[in-house]
Amino acid sequence: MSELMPLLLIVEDDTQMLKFLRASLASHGYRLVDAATGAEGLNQAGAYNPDLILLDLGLPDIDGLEVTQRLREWATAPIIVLSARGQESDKIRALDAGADDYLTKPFGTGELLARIRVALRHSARGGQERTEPTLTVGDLRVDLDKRSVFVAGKEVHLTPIEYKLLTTLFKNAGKVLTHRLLLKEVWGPGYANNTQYLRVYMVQLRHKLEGDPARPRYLVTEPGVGYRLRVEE
Amino acid sequence: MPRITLERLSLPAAALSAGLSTAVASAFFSPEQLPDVVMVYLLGIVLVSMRFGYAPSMLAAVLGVLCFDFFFIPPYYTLAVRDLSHIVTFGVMFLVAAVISGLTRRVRDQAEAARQREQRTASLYALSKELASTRQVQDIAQIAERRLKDAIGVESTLFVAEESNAALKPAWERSATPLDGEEQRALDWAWQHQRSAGLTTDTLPSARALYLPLVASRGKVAVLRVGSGLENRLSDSEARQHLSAFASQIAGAIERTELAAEAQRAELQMEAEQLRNSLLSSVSHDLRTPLAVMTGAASTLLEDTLSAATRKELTETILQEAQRLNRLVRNLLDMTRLEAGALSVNKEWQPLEEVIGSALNRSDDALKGRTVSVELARDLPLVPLDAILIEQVLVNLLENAAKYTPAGAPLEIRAELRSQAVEVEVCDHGPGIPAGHEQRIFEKFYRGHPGEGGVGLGLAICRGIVLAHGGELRVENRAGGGAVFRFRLPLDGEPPALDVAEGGLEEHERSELGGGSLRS
Repeated sequence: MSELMPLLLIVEDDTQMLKFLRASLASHGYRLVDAATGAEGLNQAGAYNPDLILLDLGLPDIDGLEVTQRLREWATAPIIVLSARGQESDKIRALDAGADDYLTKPFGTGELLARIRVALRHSARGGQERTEPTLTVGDLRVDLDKRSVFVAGKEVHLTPIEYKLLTTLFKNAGKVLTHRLLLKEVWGPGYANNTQYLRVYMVQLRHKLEGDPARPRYLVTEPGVGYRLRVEE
Repeated sequence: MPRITLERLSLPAAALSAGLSTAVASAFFSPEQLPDVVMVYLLGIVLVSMRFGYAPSMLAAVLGVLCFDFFFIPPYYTLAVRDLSHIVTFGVMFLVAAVISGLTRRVRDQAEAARQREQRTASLYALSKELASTRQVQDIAQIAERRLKDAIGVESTLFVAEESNAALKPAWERSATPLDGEEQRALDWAWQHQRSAGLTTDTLPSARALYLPLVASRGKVAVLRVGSGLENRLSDSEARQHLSAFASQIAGAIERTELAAEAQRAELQMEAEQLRNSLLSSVSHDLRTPLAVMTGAASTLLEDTLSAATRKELTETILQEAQRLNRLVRNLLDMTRLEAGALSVNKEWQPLEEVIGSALNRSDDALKGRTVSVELARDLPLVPLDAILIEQVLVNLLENAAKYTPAGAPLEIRAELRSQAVEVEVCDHGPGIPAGHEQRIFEKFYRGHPGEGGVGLGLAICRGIVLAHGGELRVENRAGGGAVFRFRLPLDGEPPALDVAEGGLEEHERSELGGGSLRS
């Protein structure tokens, strides 16, 4: 059984934090390796080729951002960054450098496990995006072949940009997507800084898809970072 | 004035005294009673000297001696003298008159001096009494200038420096002609050298006024400019002394205000120190309480004898206390950053709805069991704000409302466009703000219910953040009960031009999407 469970690499210098991560992840069956410094982390990643990497941004030797960049030179395993509140710009840089998601300390086990599952699911699908013709999250359903969107079985008409925005979020369901990434995906590389467009479209999309747009169930804001399509488990 | 009249009357008075003495003497005494006649003349001279002074009395003496010779010394009705012993009588008479006049004059002068001294003492006393009740330098200046005019008859201006190195300025605003070069130089010289300058002194005597430095026990405090009316007055040393007595009174009064201000500053500082100490103890108490609970709960969990229910309860306690501690630390850090000016506001034009959404999302735990209705005006534009900070404001306001209103009571969030700003309201149905506390609740470390968690920073942080956005945050009670926290975010600057209708992009998108079933 344990042979089939994914191998996680934890790069974290705080021993108590490491203890907590080891305890909670091991009890859910994950196989673990750990490292207390950036250099050690890079070595371990090379040696074990883990399925997922949990990376603390504040490491004693190498900046977490640099570790991300160097990992991404060869590794495809998802990286989840752990950081403190108030480091939004660091999070964005890490995400733009190739990290897949982030968790803000302090976080609970439930949140941690959910993020790990989402990241592993996406990496298992790999590059083949259109494995299924329909994507479903809660009441929302997108039929990729027919290009139609349903809320609780009822079809909703979206503009082309809204549709593209929604499908981008759907294909990365549960994962945080930075403003920059969404703008590049939906509008094209020339629009990477026009976050107002993104925000306005997101509001429109919520008004079409959410029961209470001011308290979104699916299209949630990650303040200062981007958006996430929340997956209810 | 009376002095001039008296001087004019002195010659007739002397003549009258001689005449009257002659008349009285001839009426009551025979020429044989010469000593009595002499006494009558002497009396006349004394009376003149008492009333008119030295010169008229000497004149009266000369006239008296002549009349005495003419009417009472044989040969009568001539000025000739037969008996040489009468010459001695004349001499004695003249000498006595001179001595008496001298004595009388001295008594007169002393009386006059005493009167003047008394007047000056009275005016000084009045000044010091009036100055004693003043606390402001400008009041001192007005009193001093008025009193100087009354007592010495001079126009004056008090110049003070706000700080020891600042330029001197009149102590109170009035329509005075600015000082020209020479005057300014004399003023500055007097200030720097702490010695008189200008009119009647050796330094810059061509100035139109006298500049007196006012020096108190701890050093110079001001310069008194004594202007018109001075030349006549300062000739006598008494007036100079009077002026310098005034000057030292004024200097003392100014120094007293400075000392009072310093004492007040010291007291404020001490209060701040005390506040800091009590804050420190309250903060450390607030940080230790959750730590104590967590330590206790965790060490209990290590025991083997606990039931599953107890274990769960203790674990939940640890989790709650950790979250509370997290909030405390977050608030303390936010406050520190706000106060250190380290808070950078990254304003971006964005929809308010999104910020409200993420704030509600984050406050989920605190708002459990409550309905929060959100009413946003349809015409709300994009607002320039820092999403992370304004989210924090909303979270703090919501958590605050949750803390001070009964469980389950509904909350409302409203926003509308109002005169170049967006106004956001967080309304509750709680007990409202106690009267008189509408401002205090925004103070640091103010707590509605002391002892119930929280360090009293949440609202102070809110106000700090809103101020950093150029807006304002207020609270008021509403008629039906409950409080309304309302903050304004000004719509400063140029909003971004948005092509929300998908204009040119739409064509491109449509072709890419291959004209599927989508319609705008």
